[in-house]
Amino acid sequence: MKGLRIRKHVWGWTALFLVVMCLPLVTGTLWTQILLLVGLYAICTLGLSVLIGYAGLVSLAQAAFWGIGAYVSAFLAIRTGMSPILSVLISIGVASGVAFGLGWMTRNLEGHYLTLATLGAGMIIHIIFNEESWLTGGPSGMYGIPQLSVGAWVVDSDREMFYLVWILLFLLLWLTRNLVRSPWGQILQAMRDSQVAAASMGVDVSKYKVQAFMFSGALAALSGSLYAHYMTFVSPELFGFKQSIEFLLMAVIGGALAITGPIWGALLLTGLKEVLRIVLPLVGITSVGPVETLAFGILLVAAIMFLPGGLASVLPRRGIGRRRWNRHAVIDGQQRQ
Amino acid sequence: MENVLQLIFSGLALGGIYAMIAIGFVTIFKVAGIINFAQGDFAMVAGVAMVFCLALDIPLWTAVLAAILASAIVGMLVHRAVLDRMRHQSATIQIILTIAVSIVLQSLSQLMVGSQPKSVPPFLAGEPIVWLNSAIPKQNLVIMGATVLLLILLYFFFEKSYIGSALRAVMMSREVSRLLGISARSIATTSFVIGAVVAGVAGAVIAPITLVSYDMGITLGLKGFVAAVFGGLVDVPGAVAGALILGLLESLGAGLISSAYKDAIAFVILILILLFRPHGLFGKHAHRV
Repeated sequence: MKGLRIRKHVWGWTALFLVVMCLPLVTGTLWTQILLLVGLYAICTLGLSVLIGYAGLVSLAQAAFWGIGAYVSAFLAIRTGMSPILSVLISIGVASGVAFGLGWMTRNLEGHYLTLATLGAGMIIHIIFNEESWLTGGPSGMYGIPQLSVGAWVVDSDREMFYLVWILLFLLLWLTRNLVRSPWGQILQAMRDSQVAAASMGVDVSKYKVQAFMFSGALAALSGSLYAHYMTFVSPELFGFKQSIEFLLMAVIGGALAITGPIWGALLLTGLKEVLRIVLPLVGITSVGPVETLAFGILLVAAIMFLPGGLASVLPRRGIGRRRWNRHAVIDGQQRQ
Repeated sequence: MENVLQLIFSGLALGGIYAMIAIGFVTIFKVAGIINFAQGDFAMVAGVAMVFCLALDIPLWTAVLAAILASAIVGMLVHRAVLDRMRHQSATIQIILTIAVSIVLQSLSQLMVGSQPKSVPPFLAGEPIVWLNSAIPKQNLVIMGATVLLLILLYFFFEKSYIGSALRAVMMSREVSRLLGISARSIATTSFVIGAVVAGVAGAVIAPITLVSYDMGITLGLKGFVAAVFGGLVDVPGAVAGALILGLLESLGAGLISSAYKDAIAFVILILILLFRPHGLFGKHAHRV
């Protein structure tokens, strides 16, 4: 019986992986680019999902960490000419450091207070992106970011980037899956359900909180730096409150507790954006921005009220993951009657 | 280099605005137990409503009243339609819901008035008043007057009126209030209406100074929240004091140090308070975090 179960879920994952790998072969350039971005967002959202779904910490600063990854890597690659791979790794380190700081500062906070603290931190970081022009190029942004390269091989085609991103994403999904099922993950969930109860069982809540933030920040930075090297241009408006909300949306709508959740969330949001971008002008609506935001807002409300497990809870299982979704389950995992 | 006294006056006016928003936060939190992310957006609703009314040639003061009414209606709808249904859910859910409400309100406003800020005429026409060598724009006086008037009205409302007493009862104990025949749900909605009205007044009086735009609510709400945290989210005088301090710090900081980082001041203070005195500077109510 056990053997059958393991095989089933491996089939599911393999199937998904193969489908994704074949996509660039059948889709045109536009959709390869879009799906590539979906993959990048999914990496960042994965970090946030673990933070929200498993650690119970709602962070509104994810875009700020995304930006730290982008700017640090871009800065190092341009100013010091170091290999982009190295700058990506360093940017992950820097973001983890900042995340450590944030996690430590909020170690005694819970719920609303913590979320608002992350909001404040995210906004401060965003203001720094805008103001410190010598570091970030200010409001006009930073351009001329070199593309990723290993020695002579430069990642300069969309397809190559697509594979890079998605293979990385699947590796990270596998890593995360193992992490959340490990004792570390169990402790995080205990902390999520009740910090007081966990602490009274001897859990050093501060330590795990900090680690959760660092994990989330590291993934955000990885995604952000790859993004920067792909787009070769970044500007501060990409890393503000609005973007943090979008990551939040992706995490929640996709399903914060499901490992594949970030993929569905990123896919839905990015797909929706593209659809609106194309369809709205056809019906005479020129200002796409607010309609998009309105749609997201309503989507978020609807998702929370009617689908707390996210998209992942309604998509066919195919053996991916074993959680059973109680109809009344809320995103922080607490089962109510 | 600006006249320090002038900076103090504008800081006090700013503080008045933040105080009004903060009072809304505290009221809603104490009664409904919800931290309303969309509080600043209630202020924005009033601003947008004013722009609308003025565009329809409605006289200024009528427009102001209509704006406040619009805010109140929105507040009531938000609670009844969305938040009340989810009142049993976790804090996480409620936070995300109010964030969602906030973005819905913002995008609706953006669709209605566009992305460009719109201007609204000052309530009292005329040149700034010169006093002690500082030029005080008349609107600042309107703001300060509105704040004081509002505080007085709220005091009498909470202390002397039946609904005010019912609100205080629910703040003290929801269960016992229900035993006494007070509908906690209706009171919670009322708290939202009050919060929205107060924010609406703030939005209306600051509109002539800061211009009305769909995203004016975000920073207003955040700073109002910082002020509310001064009082531990449960203490009104603490929140008002915090608001005045914040307004002064911001004004002086912008004028004397750097105006680019003035928004950061509020956030730094927020983090400092949350770190060291999460129960508020003055709040002794041990709110279990």
